[in-house]
Amino acid sequence: MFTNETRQSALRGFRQGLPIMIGYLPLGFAYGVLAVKNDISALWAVTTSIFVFAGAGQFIAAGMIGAGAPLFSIIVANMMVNLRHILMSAALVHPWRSLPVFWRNILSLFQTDEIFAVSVASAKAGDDPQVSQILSCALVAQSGWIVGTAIGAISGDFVADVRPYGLDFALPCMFIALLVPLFIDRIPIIIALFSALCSLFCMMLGMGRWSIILATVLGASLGLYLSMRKNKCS
Amino acid sequence: MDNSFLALCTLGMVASTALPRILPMSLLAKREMPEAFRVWLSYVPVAILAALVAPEIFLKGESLWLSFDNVFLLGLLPTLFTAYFSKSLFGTLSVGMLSVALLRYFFGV
Repeated sequence: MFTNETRQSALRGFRQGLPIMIGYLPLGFAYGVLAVKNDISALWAVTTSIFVFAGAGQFIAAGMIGAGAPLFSIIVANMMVNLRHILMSAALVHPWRSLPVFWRNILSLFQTDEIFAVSVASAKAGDDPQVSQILSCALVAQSGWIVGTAIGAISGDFVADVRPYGLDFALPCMFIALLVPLFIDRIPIIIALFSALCSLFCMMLGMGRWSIILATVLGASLGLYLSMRKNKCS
Repeated sequence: MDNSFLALCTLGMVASTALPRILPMSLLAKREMPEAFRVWLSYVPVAILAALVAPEIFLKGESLWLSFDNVFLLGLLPTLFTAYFSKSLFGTLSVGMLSVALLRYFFGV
């Protein structure tokens, strides 16, 4: 049914998705526990993890639902935290230009921060983007999120703390592992340091999720400036 | 909790998550982007990853957390080291998580 090539790239995607899955399990678990604590049934918690699949957005919504917030404000809060996806989606247009339009749109729906990072990393590594690879990476990763949510929502507090296993460090680790290979010359290193500082500074000023967007826009602009200057000199 | 309220919430969340993920992709795919914009976008991943990870490691709430009690900060070193030399996602993840687990076990941080 599938060609050998398709199977191989799906396998590659599976391997890429596995670390994300490991990171998503405890995170999904935490969401499941939080949802049930906020009077959301296990079934609804899992439904959102299947159809929404947005970490931060789901956490915020669960808290707001529990606090009795009106529908409108919950959706607006969600839009705010999801603004960064506009930048991420736009950034994938060029690396994915060879994919069929239909699949580009479908695959865009799965782009959480971590899956986005993997997609970018494999495009940077010179791999031709493959639908089967990106899709299997995304599905493996999401399965961790969904299963984690289900366990959390059903077991509530019965499962012991995940911190002794270092599971809460899984996602920061992933970001680092995906960030470091992007340091191909001086410019990305400067951007990373600059954006990290911007983000810390804005967070400390209490700007919350806006910090990420502002730090990204400023960092990418610095990158454009530096690369224009470099081209002028050479 | 009221089911119809939760259903509406979920629908709203689906829309507010799916649209920002799918619209730029489908709107920009059809047209030629200016070179400068393409270069700018190519730096978005580095910038966004750094912006996402820095607060996880250096902050506690909204204040800087530069102390030996901050296990993520201590774990950053072996993690960076492994990421740089192994270039392996799995290796980095294992070393990072193991460092944090060991630090907590032996030093109770």
